[in-house]
Amino acid sequence: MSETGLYSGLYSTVRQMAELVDSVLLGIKAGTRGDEKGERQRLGTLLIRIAEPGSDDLVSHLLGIVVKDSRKPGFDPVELGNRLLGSSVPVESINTLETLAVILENERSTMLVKMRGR
Amino acid sequence: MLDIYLAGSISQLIERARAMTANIPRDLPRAYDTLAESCRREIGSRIADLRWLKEDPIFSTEKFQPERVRKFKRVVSDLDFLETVAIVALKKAQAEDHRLNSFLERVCREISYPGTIPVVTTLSQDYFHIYPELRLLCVPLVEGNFLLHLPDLYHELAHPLLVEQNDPVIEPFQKKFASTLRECLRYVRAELVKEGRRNGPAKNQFMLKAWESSWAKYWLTEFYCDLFALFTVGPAFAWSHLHLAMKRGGEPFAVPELSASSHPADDARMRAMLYALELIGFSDASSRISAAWSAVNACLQAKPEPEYTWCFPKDLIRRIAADALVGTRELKVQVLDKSNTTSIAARLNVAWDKFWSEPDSFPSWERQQVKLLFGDDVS
Repeated sequence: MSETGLYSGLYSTVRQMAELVDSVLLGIKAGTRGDEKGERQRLGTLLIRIAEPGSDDLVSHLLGIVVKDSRKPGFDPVELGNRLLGSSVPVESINTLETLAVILENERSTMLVKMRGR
Repeated sequence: MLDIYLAGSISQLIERARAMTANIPRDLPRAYDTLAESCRREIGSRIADLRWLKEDPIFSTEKFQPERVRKFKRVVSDLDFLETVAIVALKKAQAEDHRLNSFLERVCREISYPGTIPVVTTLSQDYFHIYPELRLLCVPLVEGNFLLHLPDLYHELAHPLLVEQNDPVIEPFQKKFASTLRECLRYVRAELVKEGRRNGPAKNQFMLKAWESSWAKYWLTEFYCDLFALFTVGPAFAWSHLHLAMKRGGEPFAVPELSASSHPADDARMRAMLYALELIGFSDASSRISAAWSAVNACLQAKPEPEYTWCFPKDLIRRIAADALVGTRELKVQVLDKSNTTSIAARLNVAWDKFWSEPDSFPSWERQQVKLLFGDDVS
C-alpha cells in the first residue's frame, strides 16, 4: 500500500478523537459536564488506558503515541483522564483539554498534508 | 470579524456541498452504490454540522470559538476529501473501472471476504492504495491488463477490516491485531528501559521512540495486511512484494532513526511472509522466494546493520506471522487451498510460476490469461 491510504486509515481515528475532545469541551464549558452522551466517560477511560501497557485498546495506544510525540511539557493525559472520570464538574480541566484539542488538531492537519502528498 | 467570516464561509460551503451531491452520477452499475451512498450520507452529515456551526446560539459566545473553528476546519477537510477523491472516482468511472469492479467482486466472493466489497477506481496516482473509510480502492490505470501485481489487491482488502466498527464477525481479527500490537510495543518499550539504564547514546533513545511510534501508527497494520494477503492468495503475494521492492523499493533493511516511518523494512515484511508460507504448508515456495530475495539483496549489496536486527528481531516477526494466521482464520476467510487449481488465487500463482519458467514468452501468455481471468471477450 502507498502512504496515502495508510495515512487515511489513521487520519479517521485521529479525527474521531478530535471530535470527542471538542464535544466534551463544549459540554463542560456549557455547564452540562460533557457527559450527556457518555462522552466524558469515554474520553476519561481512553486517557487512563494510556498508562496501561497491557491494554488492547488500539485508540488508547494511538492517543498515547500522539500525545508523546507532541512533546508538550507538563501535559499529563492520565491525570486528565482521572479528573474527567471524577464526580465533580472538572472546570479546572478546560485548559488541559484545550491543550489536548490543539495536539489532536495539529496531528490531524499534519496527516492531511501527508495524505495530500504536499 | 470571525463571526462574519464564518457566516459567509459556512453559507458558501453548504452550497458547495450541495453541488457535490448533485454531481454524483445516477447511471452507474450497482457496484458503485455503496460509494455513492457513503458520499450522500457524509455530505448530508457535514451540511448538518455546518448549519449547527452557523445557527446554534452558543457559538455567538466568545468562549466557544476555539471549538467552532476546529470543527469548521475538520468539516472543510472532510468535504475537500469527498470532492477530490470520492466524487471524482464516481464521476470518472468508465469501462475499465467497471471491469475491475467485477473482478474484485469475484475475488471477494472466492475468499469469503467478510467486509463490504470496496469500489475500485483506476485514478490512482500512487500505486495501489485504499481509503478504508470509503472502501475506495485505487489502482493504476492499466493494472487490469497485467497479472503480477494483482495479488496486491488482497493486501488492500485487509485495511478496512482493521477499522470496521461494531462487527462481531471482524472483531476477533481486530482483537488479535491489538494483542500483537501490545507485544510489539512491549518489546520496544523494554528496549527503551534497558537503553535508559545503560546510559547509551541519546541517538538510541530517539531511534527507539521512532520505532515505538512507527509500530503503533503504521507498521503492524502493514504486516497484518501483508499476511492477510499471503494467507488468501499465497506465494503470489510474496513474489509480488519482491517485484515491487525490486522496481520501486529503497534500502530493504532501512530503519528510521529520528521520526516514525510509514512502512516497515522490506526485508522484515518478506521475512514475515516467508514464515507465514511455512505455517500454511508452502515451505517449498518459501525456500524458492527466500533464495530469490537473497539474490536481489546480494545484487544490491544490501546488508542489515545491527539496528535492523534490533528493530525487527526474529522472534517478534515470527510472532506477528503466527498471530496474523490465527486472526485471519477467525475471520473464516478462505485460506489458500493447494488442491484448488481453478480459483483466481491459484491462477495468480500459476502466473508467477510461468514468469519464472518462461520469462521470454510470458508477456504473450499473460495477455491471453488476462482475457480468460477477467472474462473478457476472447473471440
